[in-house]
Amino acid sequence: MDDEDLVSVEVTHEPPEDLLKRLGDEQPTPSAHWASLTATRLQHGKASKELRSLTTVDEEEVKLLEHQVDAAYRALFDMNGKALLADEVGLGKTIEVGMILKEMHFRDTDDSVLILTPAQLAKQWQGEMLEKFGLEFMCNYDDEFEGFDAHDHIIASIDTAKSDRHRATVLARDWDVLVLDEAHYVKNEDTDRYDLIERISYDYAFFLTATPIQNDLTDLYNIVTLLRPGLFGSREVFHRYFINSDQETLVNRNELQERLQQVMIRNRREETDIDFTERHVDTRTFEPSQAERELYEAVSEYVTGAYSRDQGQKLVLMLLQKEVVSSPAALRKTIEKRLYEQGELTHKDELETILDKIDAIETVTKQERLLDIVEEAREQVEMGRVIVFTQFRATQDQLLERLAQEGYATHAFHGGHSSQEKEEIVTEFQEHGGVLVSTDAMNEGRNLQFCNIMVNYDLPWNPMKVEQRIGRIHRIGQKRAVYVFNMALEDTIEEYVLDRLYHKIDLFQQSVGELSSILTRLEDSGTSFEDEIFERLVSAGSEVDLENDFDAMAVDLQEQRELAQKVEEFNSGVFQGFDLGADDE
Amino acid sequence: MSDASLSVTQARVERFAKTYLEMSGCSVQERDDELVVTVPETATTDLLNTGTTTIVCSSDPERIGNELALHPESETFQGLLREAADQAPIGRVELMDADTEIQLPDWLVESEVSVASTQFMPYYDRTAVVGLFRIGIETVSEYQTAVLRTGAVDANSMGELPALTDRLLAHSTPDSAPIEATATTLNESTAREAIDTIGEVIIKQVQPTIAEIQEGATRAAGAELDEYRQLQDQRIEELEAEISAVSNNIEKLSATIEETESQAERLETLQERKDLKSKREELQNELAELTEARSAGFPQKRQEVSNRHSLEVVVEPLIMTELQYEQGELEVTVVDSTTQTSVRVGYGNGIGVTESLACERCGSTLSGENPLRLDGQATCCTSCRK
Repeated sequence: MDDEDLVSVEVTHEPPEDLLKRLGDEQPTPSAHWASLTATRLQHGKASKELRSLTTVDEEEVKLLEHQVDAAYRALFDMNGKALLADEVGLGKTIEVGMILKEMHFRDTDDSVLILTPAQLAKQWQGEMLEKFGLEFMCNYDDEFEGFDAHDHIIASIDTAKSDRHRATVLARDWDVLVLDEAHYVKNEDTDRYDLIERISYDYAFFLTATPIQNDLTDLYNIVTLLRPGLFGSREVFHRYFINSDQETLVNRNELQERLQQVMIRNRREETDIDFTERHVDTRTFEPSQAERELYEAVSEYVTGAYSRDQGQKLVLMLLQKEVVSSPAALRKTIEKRLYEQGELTHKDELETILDKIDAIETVTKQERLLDIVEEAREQVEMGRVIVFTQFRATQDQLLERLAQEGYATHAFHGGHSSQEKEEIVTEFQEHGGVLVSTDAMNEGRNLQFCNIMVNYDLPWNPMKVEQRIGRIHRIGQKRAVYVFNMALEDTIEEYVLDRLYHKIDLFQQSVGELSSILTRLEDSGTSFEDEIFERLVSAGSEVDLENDFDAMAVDLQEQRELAQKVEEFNSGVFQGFDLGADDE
Repeated sequence: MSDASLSVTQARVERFAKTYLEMSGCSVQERDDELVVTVPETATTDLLNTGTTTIVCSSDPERIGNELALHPESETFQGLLREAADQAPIGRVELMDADTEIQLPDWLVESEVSVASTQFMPYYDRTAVVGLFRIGIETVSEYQTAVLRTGAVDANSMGELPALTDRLLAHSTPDSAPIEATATTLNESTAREAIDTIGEVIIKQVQPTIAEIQEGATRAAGAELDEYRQLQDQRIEELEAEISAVSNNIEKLSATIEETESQAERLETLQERKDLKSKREELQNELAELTEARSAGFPQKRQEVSNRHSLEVVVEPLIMTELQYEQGELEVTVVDSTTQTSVRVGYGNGIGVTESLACERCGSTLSGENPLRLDGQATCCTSCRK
């Protein structure tokens, strides 16, 4: 059949309304029309095939590296609209996609975009796209999400997209752009995930993975074939020509590289100029006072009891358990709300006892010990700049008050500030130093590499959030070693999470991006991190049980981490000697 | 018609920035490689804070330090362009006699006869509409090609006036003195009709570019389809081989069944053969489907590839200028070695000669190929030279 009529041309004349609405405008100055004409001509003076939006990326929010810009360019212009972005871990594949999407937005070619990610990473993607590139996406976890046919820019968990409820609407649309994060997650051609991606209709597709090969080389075949059916021929042909009989090594590498180059971009760390400074982690655990110990026990007992009676209250109980280790003030707020606003009558006595125990605390141990860290900083680093992170506003208020009492310059940063205010706070902190006490709203895209000391006053149970906190200061552009202080009271859930989990997986020392591959592996095995922690806490029969439970969880994590590392090493090995970079020509 | 975009050089960047800031009420002093800009409270720009700001005209990070930078890629310049482009996308410009040089027609330019003098006599004003349009051509294999084009039409007749666009563009560069404009007098329906007409004119202009991109896209789509065809051909071969292997096994099992005496073993082998037969049937069905799809040219895949590679051309009006020009007559005094005479033709200021001139001897229309010749006092064409 003749292929000459394969490509049709559709001409659309944009309605002139935007222009016509200016019809009655007075000229601001006699030369204003000249300025519009000339500026418009200059705006279009760049070559068509350039990343035109580059100058609109806010360098305060994201520092684009050469390999990232190059990858974005090649993916858009040189790969027929389908690219597998397979940089090694930590080189910023998300940034590359952000750059691509920013360019597509700038050129108005992004009417509908679907980003599919593992569930645990969806919100992070949403945050990054907004903060770093100013791109707004609806996430399937947002309250406003009304389905895949109701929004044009969606970030969703791939499992939500493939669910019976949503699958038909996902497949019914023609998406302009499909992004698939952690594409190795979809390596198996017999799964619903694979089937979904194979059937989705799109113009442009960008798949991301640091490890295209998870188990064997068939994974590479499957992922590439999803993008470019036929590039490797049939499965049998691929096996016959490109895989050694031991199934682990590639043969006919040159030919394979030639084909892979049409669809895959892989940057290696050693070829880039990414260089992170050292990171020092100092975890400090403190013995709680008797009153604090009693409060912790009372709350834990209440939470365990209440959860065994009604599992529907899980979220609020989880909150109480987190607050009790953050600060009595944070806890008080929630307890009082339950008692006085929500009219909790069933367990009135228990809650009132908790309030009494809060009142009995005269000195908040962690708060006092924080002063030690802040004082050390005042003596040793430029302008004594320290960022203290807490999850709760009430804790934040109390810390600010205490620090101010001691004469420190303080700055508060939370989600209630407008963007303008947030900017001013950060500038103030940069110029005057002192202590910035921040909630996790700071994750919304502020770069604070002018500071190199941070304190985790309390700890999120979601390790991605910890990584995000560290990422605020330990990023490209940080010139000094970074110090991370973790604070916890002995024998509390916080100590378990810190000691048994986070340290076991070396969370605080992980290279950027490594964590997401571990979490993806965990998610694949059906685990949600926060729930897991909570379930273990409330169901442990004794302290020994609890320790064992957390140890078991740590072993799981460690296994996933080792597997992730092994897979990464394996991929490095397989692709060693491959030069998948751009042609020099 | 060439692209209306202007290449961005450092000199243009600086000139445009200076002119724009000055017209916005700022005072700008050039000092070595710096612009020292003083912004009064009354300034109409939001780009700089009130007070004095130093802008460094360089892209060297060391030279820039903490100052604002001005170079083609700088945020300052891009911000300036954004603000400037939005100032007055619609305006009315009067193209007066003094603004334009006389445009001689080809039949005079190419003629051996010399022009002694020209005089334009404007009789009445005419209105034209010039539009600056962005055309985005998108296809997956090349992503997007964007061009900026202009077109002009008469506001009454909607007839095309190509020469006017050049006139306007000549006045809208950082190197030209800013033309002054007032608010437009066009009503909405005329403006809309003009934009629609110019949009069509422009699409014709860019047809060669569209055709070229379409050719490339067709090649890319064809290659993708070929890849898919090859994949299916391989699959067909593999299916045939598999079917043949399964058939062999079935035959072997049939022979075994004949030779087996034990009832239990026979039953087991029969079951095995039955399984293989159903497997063969499955493979045969798959093969039949594939073969049928192949002979039909893989219509589904073809459609899919075709949809993905189709060219989307988006035409977007960005700037509209109501251009008032004068219509009248041009009197040209021409001389050759022996004679001097004058010729009068309809002429529009900025658009050139608006009517054709016929040879007084043979009636042919004068043109660049058949230019003017004087025969005594008579204005003739070159072709009917005696």
